[in-house]
Amino acid sequence: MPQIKVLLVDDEVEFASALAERLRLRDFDTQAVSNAEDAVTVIRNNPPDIVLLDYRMPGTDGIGLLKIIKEINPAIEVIMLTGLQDTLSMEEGMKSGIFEYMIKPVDIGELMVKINLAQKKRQG
Amino acid sequence: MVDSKTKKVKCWEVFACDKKDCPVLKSRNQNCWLISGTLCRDSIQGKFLEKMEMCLSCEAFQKNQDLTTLKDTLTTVNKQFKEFRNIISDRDAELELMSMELAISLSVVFEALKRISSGDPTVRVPEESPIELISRLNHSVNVTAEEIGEIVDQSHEFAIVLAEHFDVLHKVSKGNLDARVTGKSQVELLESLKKVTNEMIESIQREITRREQAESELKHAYDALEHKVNERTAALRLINEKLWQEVTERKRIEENLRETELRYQTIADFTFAWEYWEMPDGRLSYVSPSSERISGYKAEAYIQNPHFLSEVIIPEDRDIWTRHHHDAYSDLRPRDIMFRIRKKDGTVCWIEHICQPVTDGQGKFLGIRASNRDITLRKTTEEKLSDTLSLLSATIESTADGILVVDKEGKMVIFNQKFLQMWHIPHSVIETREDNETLSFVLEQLKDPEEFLKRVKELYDHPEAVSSDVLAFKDGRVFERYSHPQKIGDLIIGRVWSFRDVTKRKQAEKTLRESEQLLLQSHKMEAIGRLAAGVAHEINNPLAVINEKAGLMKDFLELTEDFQQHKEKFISLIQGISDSVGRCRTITHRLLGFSRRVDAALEVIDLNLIVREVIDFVEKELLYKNVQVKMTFAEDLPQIESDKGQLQQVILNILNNAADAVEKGGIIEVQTDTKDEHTMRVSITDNGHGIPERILDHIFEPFFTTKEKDKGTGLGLSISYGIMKKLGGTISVQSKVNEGTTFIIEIPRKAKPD
Repeated sequence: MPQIKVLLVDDEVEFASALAERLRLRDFDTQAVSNAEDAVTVIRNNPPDIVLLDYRMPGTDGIGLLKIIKEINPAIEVIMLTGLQDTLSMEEGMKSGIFEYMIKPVDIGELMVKINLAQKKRQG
Repeated sequence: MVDSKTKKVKCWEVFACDKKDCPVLKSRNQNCWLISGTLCRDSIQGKFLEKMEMCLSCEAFQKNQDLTTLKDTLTTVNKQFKEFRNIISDRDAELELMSMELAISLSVVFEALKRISSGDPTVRVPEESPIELISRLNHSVNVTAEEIGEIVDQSHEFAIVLAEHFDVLHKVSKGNLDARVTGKSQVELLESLKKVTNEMIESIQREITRREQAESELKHAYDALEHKVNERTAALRLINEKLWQEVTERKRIEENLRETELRYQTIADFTFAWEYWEMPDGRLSYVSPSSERISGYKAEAYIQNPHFLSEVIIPEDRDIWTRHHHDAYSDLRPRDIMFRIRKKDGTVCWIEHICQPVTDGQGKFLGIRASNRDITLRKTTEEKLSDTLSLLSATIESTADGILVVDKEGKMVIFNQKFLQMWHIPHSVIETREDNETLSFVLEQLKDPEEFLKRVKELYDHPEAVSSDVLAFKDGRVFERYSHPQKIGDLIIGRVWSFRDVTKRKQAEKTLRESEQLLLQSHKMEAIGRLAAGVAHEINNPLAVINEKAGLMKDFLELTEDFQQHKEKFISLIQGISDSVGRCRTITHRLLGFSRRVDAALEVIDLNLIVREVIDFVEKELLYKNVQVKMTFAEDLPQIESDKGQLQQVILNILNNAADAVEKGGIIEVQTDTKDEHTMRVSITDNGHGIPERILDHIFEPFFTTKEKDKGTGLGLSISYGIMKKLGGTISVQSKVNEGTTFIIEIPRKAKPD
């Protein structure tokens, strides 16, 4: 079974780097970037299977980037990572094509389940 | 007469004569040879007659002389000459005859005659001749020559005399009336001519003298007349002035008279008293005309009928009158009564009647002098006053306030029942009317009687003062007291005290104050609640970091063989966790600091610092909204003494509003500076949608909001306004739709909390 390619987008670099390393330890091909522009570059050059996307970011935020991702490659599944207060927006966001949303801080086990589920969805 | 205007012509000019030895030539005074006895005349010796005729046709002569009269004279002269010439002709004929007879011998005679006939009368022939005829002839020749000589002499004289005549006439014509023809002549004609001329001149002179005399008399008469006229005019003016004075004086007197008349008329008209005199027998000897004004009936009506007065008195009052009239006669004392009469026009009128029996020195009763006055107006006023008093009394009784009116000495004049009720004053106390007793009763009920007493005394010292204060009662009631001077015009005659029970209102005010406090606190909580979401996110982030770092350390322990090799990694991760915890602590401390109690607590603060703290609160939130915050802080701002928490609440409010107003990518500028040495200033400007002018005046009103229902309560700005007022500062706004809004907070260096 080939490695699942994961792209992690979060402006909180400390968070992103730690989580990326944990995912790599769990055999996910994980890359972390801190803004939308870098994310788009990666998606175009080395398209991931799954994108873990922070909802709140300066500049283009999570929802904005989601639309771009879906435009470039609708097959990529997006899991949105958010703060507690944004759950209402997330319920709405589900309709606009995210696979799932998770409230920070996330449990690594739960995250792996979601990633695998998303991958399964991709593979139909 | 020569026209004086005609310029004299000179003979030498007319005839272009340059005979140097002629005295007339170039003479200034003489014009003509004939007049002046010139050489010319000498040269015409013997041809004078022709010359005379020549003169008449002489240009110079004509131009210089009036010839009419002269012509006549000359005509006469010429006539005579002609007669003489005829005589000569006759003689010539005789002589011719004789010569014919004596042709041969008488050549001498011929010669002589020839010379005579040629104009030389000086020729003489010897008369002696042998021939008688010749002798006679010669004698005749001589006689003739003599006669002719005489004639020539006369002619000469004629010329001279005529010249003199001309001269004289010329002088006369020049105005010299004294000129006379003087030359004497043997010639009768010349004498008579002289007489005629002189007479004519004299007559002219007489005429002139007479005329002058007449003129002089006329002038005299005129002068006299003028003098008389002047005298007359002066007299007239004097009379006129006198007359005018008299007229003015008369006018003045008339005016005075009119004024006096008017005065007396006025006095008569307006003397209200209707006077009359009743004689001992009951008849009225005098009734003043004002009886008509008062009663409508003429004085005569009362004089003719002594009972008429009792007839006009209305039946109800007639008994009073009859009794009075009877009494007046019984003891002869002055009296007065009031009764009503029915006037001629049917209306009823009140009369005040005063009478005084009059006696002479010996005590003899002479009659009664009485005076009636119309007092209807006074009666009406009294009634009105009574109405007003009853109205006033009803008003005082019906008011909710307790009212007490005291006079200048502090004696109670009026009070209402409410006053008694409010102060629980028993009737037993009030009936004594003892002010001191009432006062001590009042003082007993007050929490601070000394203060009240002090105020009362102060007011007695300042009768004009208006004052009010609040009285606290031992039983918990609270009265508001008002005190106002009572005046008539400018004269202070007493003082009105009014008491209002405001216990309930004071309680309500206290409750309201408490509610306000509560509201302020809850609004703050609302503002904080709004922040909570952002804060949660902010805390979530470091928590997530901690979570992942801790997770990673766990991963190393669980998933790798030898975690020792990750020792450095571990230290770095633990450091990361500590940093994140620090972040959380900052956030929670800030929040806690902000949510302290609302009570005003003044402290010395750095304005820049506290503004910065508020911005830190919202900065992250704004960052995610893509809103940029620009800060321009004045350096060296002096420290201020104010309430930090409340100031931050205001600034947070405005920043929140600004954040709501701007779109993504908006800019909020926060500026601090010094307005003046006593005032600091914070300006917060956004480039949002702005506030429409029509609502700009309402934004500080409570519950006014343009936000969606669950986004704001509409209290933020009104509370901010209240806070700034409380701190002695201000908050103001400037806004333009689609351009943005600026809120300016002005903070005094030292707050004045109430």
